[in-house]
Amino acid sequence: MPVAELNGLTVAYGPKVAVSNFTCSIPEGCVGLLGPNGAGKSTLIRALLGFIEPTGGTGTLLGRDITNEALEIRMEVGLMPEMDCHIPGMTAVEFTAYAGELSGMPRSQALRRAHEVLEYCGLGEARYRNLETYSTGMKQKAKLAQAVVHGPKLLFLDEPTNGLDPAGRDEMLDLIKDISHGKGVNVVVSSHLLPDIEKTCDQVIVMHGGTLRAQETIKTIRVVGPMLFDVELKLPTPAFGDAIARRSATIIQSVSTRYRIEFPENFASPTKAVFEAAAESGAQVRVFSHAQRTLEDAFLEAVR
Amino acid sequence: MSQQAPIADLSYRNYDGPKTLETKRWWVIARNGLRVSFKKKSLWVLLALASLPYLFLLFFLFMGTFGGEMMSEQLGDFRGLMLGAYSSAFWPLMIALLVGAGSIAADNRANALQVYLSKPVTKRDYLVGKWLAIFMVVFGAYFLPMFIVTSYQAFDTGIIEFMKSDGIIFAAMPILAAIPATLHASLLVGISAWNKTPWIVGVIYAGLYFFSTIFANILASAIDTTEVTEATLRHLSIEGLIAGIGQFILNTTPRSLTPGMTVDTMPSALPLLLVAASLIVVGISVARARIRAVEVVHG
Repeated sequence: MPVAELNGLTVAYGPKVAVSNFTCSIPEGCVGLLGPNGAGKSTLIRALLGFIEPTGGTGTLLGRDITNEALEIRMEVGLMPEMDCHIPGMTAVEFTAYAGELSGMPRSQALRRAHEVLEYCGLGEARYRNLETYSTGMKQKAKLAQAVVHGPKLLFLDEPTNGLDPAGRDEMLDLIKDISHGKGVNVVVSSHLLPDIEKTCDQVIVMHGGTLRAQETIKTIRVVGPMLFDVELKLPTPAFGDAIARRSATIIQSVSTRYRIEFPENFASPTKAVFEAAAESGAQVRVFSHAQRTLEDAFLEAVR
Repeated sequence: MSQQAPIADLSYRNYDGPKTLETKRWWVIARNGLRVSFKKKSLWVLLALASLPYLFLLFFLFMGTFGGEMMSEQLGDFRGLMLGAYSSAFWPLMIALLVGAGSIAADNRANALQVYLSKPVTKRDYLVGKWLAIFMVVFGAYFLPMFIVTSYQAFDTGIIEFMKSDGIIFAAMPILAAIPATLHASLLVGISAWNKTPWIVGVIYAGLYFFSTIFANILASAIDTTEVTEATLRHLSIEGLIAGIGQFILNTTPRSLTPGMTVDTMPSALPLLLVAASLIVVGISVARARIRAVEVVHG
């Protein structure tokens, strides 16, 4: 069951349309919302949470209407906003427990759970310190803790690695990956950082200029084409090229022992043809796979 | 098992305990506001300073028990004396500023509204919670010392006799305390919602408070009119409204323990009530119009 179904959703700030006629189905699991700055990612999240009223279209989140059931939705959803959002004068425990109480948890449960999630997020004894004394990395963890304290079914993470150093970034990405896999929490990670999405997400939604540009799994979005294959041989073998050519395929790129081969559309068995050509030319195949591009290449093509 | 291994399961577990949409979230917000306020030592100092006029009154009442005829005469109008202490509004104003200036402005500055409104909290819950936190502190600052002094006087003069002459004070006390608390809370949430810097809110409100007093006095002096109208005009300020409505409720004018500091003419109640109600409505409406989870930039 998809966590969100959006149909022609349009969000405008006055005359400026930030999200335009957005139709998509966000599946379960960890989904990356990818796009350059100003693509409409944060606006989309805000509209889904009922912060901004859509000017057109409809949408459901966790099976509930985003315009009429915002409170019910927010009980089941957690948000880690992009910017600092700490309530002044509070320790991390107080802040997180307060967030739990606001989500409808009894006071004692909220306090118990606050300790639990802050420990999980790696804040340890620092949880008793005032939030104003925290480093950027610790603040990000506290933000994550307040977003998960009430056990949401869906978690929105808006630029979760903003301002983090490499070690802090890795810690945050590990936390996201852990929460989003096998813990019953669906996660939408909004980011313009491709490696973050690649490391944590199973699916990706690419936005640009407020519109949907692509929606695929990370694996499929990286595939260049169904009839393009990468082959790596043990040793350079010129005869392999001739053997491939005899089977109606074209080597479109060759670097040392690596070849990118294109087969004609509707070619019956590319795998069989490659291994027959290798056997015929006396070559030993080390790697054989669908030709892949980097997520960056796929992203650039989607937003072009 | 390794000695370093934790004794508890620290991995992420989903929360499956009780959770309800019916919780009074405005009360959660108000309670948190009170907790944060009472953590400030300066609030305790201000509360002590705000109770000084009542402590002086209590002292003189105590001395009056052993004093001569002159002392008894001066202390005779207990309601007037209570109103005099009630009209000393400077320290309660400072309390309101300390508690209320940052109530919404600090959240605006820290983007904390996103946290509030990403939870099942409505704008009304948020506003009521913030308003109530200011109201309760200011209410307490007025009510508690009034209650102590009145209770002392009641026991000193005899409960029955006191109830016959000044019993109305017990019923009026919550209303007397609620007037400044409501005015301060409503105006402060209104100004605070439109700002990101608590001290600027403090300066704006203090400026509004003092300039309205000066303006009302100039207006009353400038217009040649009846004594009642002049008294009414003189009370058309935040400070004046509190004192003026107080006079109306206790049906007396304030008395001071200092000779020559007594006002005899009462203002008309209706204009003061109308102005106070308008200020309350404006303050709350302005705050409600401004509170939103995201900054909407038009253009």
